[in-house]
Amino acid sequence: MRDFLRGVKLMLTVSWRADRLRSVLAGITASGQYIVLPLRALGLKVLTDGVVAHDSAHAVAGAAMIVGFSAANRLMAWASLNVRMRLREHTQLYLDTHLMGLTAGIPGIAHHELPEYLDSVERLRMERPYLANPFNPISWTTASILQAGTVVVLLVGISPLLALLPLFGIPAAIASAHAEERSIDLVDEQAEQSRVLRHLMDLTTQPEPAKELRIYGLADELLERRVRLFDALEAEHTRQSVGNVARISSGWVLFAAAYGAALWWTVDAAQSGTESIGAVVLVLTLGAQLNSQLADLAYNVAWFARSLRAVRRLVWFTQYADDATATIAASGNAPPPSRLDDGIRFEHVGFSYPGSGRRVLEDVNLFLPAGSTIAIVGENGSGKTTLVKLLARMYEPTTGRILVDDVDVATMDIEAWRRRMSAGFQDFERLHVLARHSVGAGDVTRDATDDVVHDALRRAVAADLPNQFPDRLDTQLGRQFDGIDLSVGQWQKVALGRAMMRDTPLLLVLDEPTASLDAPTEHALFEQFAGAARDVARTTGGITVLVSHRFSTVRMADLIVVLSHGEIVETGPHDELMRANGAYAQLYRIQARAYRVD
Amino acid sequence: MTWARRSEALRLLACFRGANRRLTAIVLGAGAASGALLPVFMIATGALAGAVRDGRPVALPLAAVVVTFLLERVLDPILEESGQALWRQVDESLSQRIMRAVAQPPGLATVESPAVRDLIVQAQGELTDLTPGQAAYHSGRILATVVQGAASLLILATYHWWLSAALLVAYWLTYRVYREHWQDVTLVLYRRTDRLRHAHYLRALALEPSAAKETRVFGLAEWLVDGYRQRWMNEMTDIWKTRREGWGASVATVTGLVVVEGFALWSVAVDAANGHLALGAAVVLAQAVLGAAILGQYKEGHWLLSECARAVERIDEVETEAAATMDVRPGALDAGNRPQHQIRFENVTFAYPGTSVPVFDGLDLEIDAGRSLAIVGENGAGKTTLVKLLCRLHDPQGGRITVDGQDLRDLDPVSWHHRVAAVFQDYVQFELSAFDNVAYGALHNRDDREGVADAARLSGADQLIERLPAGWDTPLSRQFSDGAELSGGEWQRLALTRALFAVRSGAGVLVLDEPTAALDVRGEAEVYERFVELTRGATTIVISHRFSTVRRADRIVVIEHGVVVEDGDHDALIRHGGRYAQMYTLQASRFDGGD
Repeated sequence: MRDFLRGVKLMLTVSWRADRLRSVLAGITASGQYIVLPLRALGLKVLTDGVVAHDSAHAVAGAAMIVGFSAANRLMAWASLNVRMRLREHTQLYLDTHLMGLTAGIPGIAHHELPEYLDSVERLRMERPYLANPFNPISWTTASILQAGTVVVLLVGISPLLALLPLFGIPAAIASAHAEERSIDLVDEQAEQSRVLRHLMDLTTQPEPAKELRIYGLADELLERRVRLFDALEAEHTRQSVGNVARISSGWVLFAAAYGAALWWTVDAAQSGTESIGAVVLVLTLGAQLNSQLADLAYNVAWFARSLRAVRRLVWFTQYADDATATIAASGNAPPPSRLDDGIRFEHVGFSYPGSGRRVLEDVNLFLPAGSTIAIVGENGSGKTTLVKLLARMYEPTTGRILVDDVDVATMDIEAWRRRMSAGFQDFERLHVLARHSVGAGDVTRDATDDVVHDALRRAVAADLPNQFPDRLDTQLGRQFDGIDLSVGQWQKVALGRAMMRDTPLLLVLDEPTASLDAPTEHALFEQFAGAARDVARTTGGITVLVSHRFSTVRMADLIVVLSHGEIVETGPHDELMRANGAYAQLYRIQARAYRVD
Repeated sequence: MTWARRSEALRLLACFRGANRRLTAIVLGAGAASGALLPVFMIATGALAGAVRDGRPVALPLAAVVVTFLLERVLDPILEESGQALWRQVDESLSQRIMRAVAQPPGLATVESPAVRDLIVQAQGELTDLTPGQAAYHSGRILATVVQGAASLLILATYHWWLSAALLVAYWLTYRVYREHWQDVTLVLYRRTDRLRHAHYLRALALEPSAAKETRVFGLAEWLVDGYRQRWMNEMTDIWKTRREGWGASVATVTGLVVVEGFALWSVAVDAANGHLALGAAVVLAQAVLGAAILGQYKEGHWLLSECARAVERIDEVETEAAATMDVRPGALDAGNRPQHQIRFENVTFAYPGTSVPVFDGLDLEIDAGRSLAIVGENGAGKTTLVKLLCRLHDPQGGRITVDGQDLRDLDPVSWHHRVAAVFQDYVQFELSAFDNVAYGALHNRDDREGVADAARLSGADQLIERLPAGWDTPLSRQFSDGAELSGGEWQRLALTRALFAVRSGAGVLVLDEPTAALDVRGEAEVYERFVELTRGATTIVISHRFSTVRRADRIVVIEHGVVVEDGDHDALIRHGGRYAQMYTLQASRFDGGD
């Protein structure tokens, strides 16, 4: 019950926050529109009385009441539609920005891999329509209940016994509510398969996979796969539906029997003269009304239940995000140092991804001296990217800690720490916005003016990039919105430019940023980095961490870290590691051999 | 009923029936029956009242009242459950139609067209948060109102036919006024689809995991939320400015209805009071006036029906547009086992759709069948475009590409695609089983588990498969409870395995676009050391910035500004001392002195 009230409160809050005035108006118009309807029955009664008394003025007054209440109902319906349309739009904006803020605002990224979180988001996506107008189910359910109350009062007027009639509707109502519960549960159970359905849709309709899809002729296969999966899910729905119909119908049979008995009793009383014919007409018309009212009530309650479920999901989601943010915030809010004097130290750092027992990093002890360039090498899956993610605090270490100038990075204000770092990732995002903003997103505290963006691109050795775009920095990138298509290498330059937007970071992380770059660019890039690193070292003691498979570049680093199966196997500068003739030297020779004249 | 209106109803009916014939019949049948029951109920109540008054037997009318009541109640859950099912199935059938329309054309123009993307967004109801299937759900209930209204008018017609006619006109006009109003609202939204899609793109960036790392490092949460809000508000403010609330029209129709309904009820009331009309008849007629009023109602359901019809129209457009897009001309000739001799680019000109700057303006290139060719050049030189043309994902605008002398455009594109295997830079990550990820290289041969395993051994992916919790059957996404996540390098190795399986299964052309970019040192070394073995029997085109791989090719061409500037094998190009030699030496020199 407390959960229920909390849900109702939140439904009201969502709407209230989105648009106060229209929330109130929507409540008034929606319930007003419904409450006017039973009043028409009153008009019918007045009309009947007039007819029976052969009083045409009285009868016409009844007709006028019917017409008047109908007109009021229509005007309120019109107002309600206008108000709800606009309220729906405002609520949509509110919910979207709320969800965006929550999702993107969670400091870590572990949630993106938690099935529970993903299911929740998937369901929220599907249930958005139920959240868009949270006022409707509440006001309409209330109106339905008020209507039913009016009917009960009128029935009691004939005989208190008749007031029992609505009670026989309870089994049908419970059956309807249970049916709703079950169907929501079923959709929840199918959330994982629903994600597969969506993935299949994306694969067939998004531009990137389109090439392989055509070459390997996969369109039909993926479609068939979707059809099979959907049909299997739908079969479960059908099984459930048949049961629902049987249960709810049985409930209505019970009610119909009670209704028949009530009518029989009234008719019998009328025939024996203890009740008037008017009473029979009243029970009949109320029966007709009760009929549609109960249908409305069942429908509104079902809708209400769905909205409530969606709201609970929103509550769960908000709670999850708040907890995640609070946990990080509670661990400390120390400011990051203005410059690095000592360096960054890993102490017995171990890490497993959430929900997985496998250790990706094991007892990593490592010192990254201030002002140095560090290269991390190792085979695919050796934990390089994870190490980088820990530095950016995308995850917190499972064991051990990371110290920045002797301060545990976990105790630092996470956003302040991130403002002092920058990064280029292997799986960078292709931002389909203006070139200016695609680069400028690397530091949104500054205006992305020509100078600022050009400077960042220059430091990413991509100064020439804007010249390849028709409208230079004001070119829309990507085919998503009629922009120009970039090659993978060009996109990578944009991402590198983004990483260069912050000009004096304490930590610059580059996770295989040159995989798609051509040889001259790569060469220039690292000359530039080496130079920049020395400059940065003088001013802020900043550290550059580079993950790469290209040993021609790696060898330039001050310190090389070799990872294997989550453990550090070697560290040292190139020459030292070559002399040691260990894992590094072996890998280096493999790559160098390819360039030797043989 | 106007022609457009009728065609809208027919289009919807076709759409619902296309999704599920039987369900459509159930939903509409239950709706119609439910609508017809209310007038029957009205008459039965009149008969019962009359019987009581006249002292006639009441059993029959009473039974009629209870039975119609019960039937209506039993129809309701049927209508509800079948409506929900039809909702899901109509949405699904429309999604499948979109998938088919976008995925079938052999060229990329449709799938890459922003206009098509706009249509997809509209068709899926992403702008209004309403999916077309919801209309299917409402259709039964709307049909019920129509039947109920029509039957009520029939009952009234037994009193005065012209009263019925007047009410019909009044309700029809009312309905039209409401309808026009709401259609206006959605049309305005549609006209702004492309701009609203910008806002939705920012929303996706914040919600989807792909940008999660950068969003955090660069502190973009607020930037995205603000950007979304700003773009959304810009568009919606304009929309709200032009959106009419239509109070004038509403008040006018309500006034009209007050006059017509008032006259009808006044007439009934006066006639009954003067004894020209029996009491029972008066009660039935008064209820009939109220029952007919439902014809003038315009609710969400009606609006959704129009929406759905519009969405279906959009999908028709996508289908028509997809079918009409001839960016890749459908030739008739089967590709057979081409190429046996040579693939030639002859004076090829090509610019991407919607751009004016050509990538190629007179490219000439010969590729010998059964040999390997490496293409080298700076970022943006057109290397990937070249292989896209070769794969026939686009057709050139000028010049031609021939295979064994036959213009590629005369070949059936599907049969030519069948000849090609490729590893693209943005290889696909199928979030399906590891086995499917490889077997998808050759669907006709997907039962060849041995072949799949062989391809994995050749590419070196076999060790990766061994590490997966359920081996080949592991779903490749951590989004699944029993799934596993692969690193970029591992995905690339799988893409390579897929291409090798395709070659094993008969593809004669192998395209490798930066096939080792994400691989580690040993992985890269394995690929170039086995290069000859990997590419045996296939005409191979490899694009790479890694000269370790490039130098293994039988022949190397350097492309600059859309033309071939150097051509020869590794030794020849080194001796030539041009661009290639320069780039190679640059990379090689960085390994000097370390060993």
